Amino acid sequence: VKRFFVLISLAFFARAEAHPVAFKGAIGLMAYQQADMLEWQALYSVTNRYSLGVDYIWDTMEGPARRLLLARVNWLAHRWNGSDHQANIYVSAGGGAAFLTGATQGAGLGGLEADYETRRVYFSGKTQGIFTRGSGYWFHQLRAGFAPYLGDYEGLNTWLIVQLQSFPQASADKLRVGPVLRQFYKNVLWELGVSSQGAWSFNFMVHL
Amino acid sequence: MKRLMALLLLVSSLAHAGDVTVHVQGMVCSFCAQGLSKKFQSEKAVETFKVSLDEKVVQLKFKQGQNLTDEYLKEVITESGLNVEKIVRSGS
Repeated sequence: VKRFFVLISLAFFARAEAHPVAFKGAIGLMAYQQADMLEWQALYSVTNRYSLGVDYIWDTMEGPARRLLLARVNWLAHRWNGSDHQANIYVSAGGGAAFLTGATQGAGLGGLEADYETRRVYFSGKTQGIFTRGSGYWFHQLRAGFAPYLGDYEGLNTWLIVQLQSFPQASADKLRVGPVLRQFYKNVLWELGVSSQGAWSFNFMVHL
Repeated sequence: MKRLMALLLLVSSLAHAGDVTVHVQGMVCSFCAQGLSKKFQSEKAVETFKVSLDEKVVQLKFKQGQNLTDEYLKEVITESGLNVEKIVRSGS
């Protein structure tokens, strides 16, 4: 089974999403892409409780292209470390600029995220809002996944996830459901997903 | 008195030599626990470093005559976002 997923990973490249706060001193670099959205993020974990970073988002979900450049802080509000599980609650906030067609505006960001995982199962929920003058853009996500085999610390880890995403302000495909293949090897994580509308998404993350 | 102090230091040093097994809580994801590798693999005192997600332990073997204190091990693991359940030292 493990060899099969190694082959899958080699065949496809990768996509990723992980905790917004990592170990103290970690630098996290993330790139996410889907048909109508692109996001680049660089985060520095000042401690294991909060991280600071920069977010660049490009999207055409509401029609005209919009670019956002945001400074953000992520706070690990609470963590439960058990012998066979971990659960987390994160809060995110940020601010910056929105570059719209013919105008530049101030923009703000707020987010809440929670997850629970064992070595076998994984659940997460996330909601995020980005606000510009007179408009708000929301994103909601629910995920449930399982690991088809128990990966080693030094080996390739694989997760099969079902993802439900809501983009209330999008002009099309406001609700997207689909499978995601998540894999990580040491400090590199990637995900490859496809929605019920047939749109591909790709995410890549590395912790330095 | 000085000999007694030296003897106590020697006994203390020997008691802390050898391998260490740290039992860790919350270590369910290898990607999330990579901070341990980054930290311990750069430690001069560490000869070998191994993580077992199955047994939920971090195992360290120190170079001859070198060591890391329990307090330091706890600090590193806590800064990685994990909890130390217990530290077991073996060998001398």
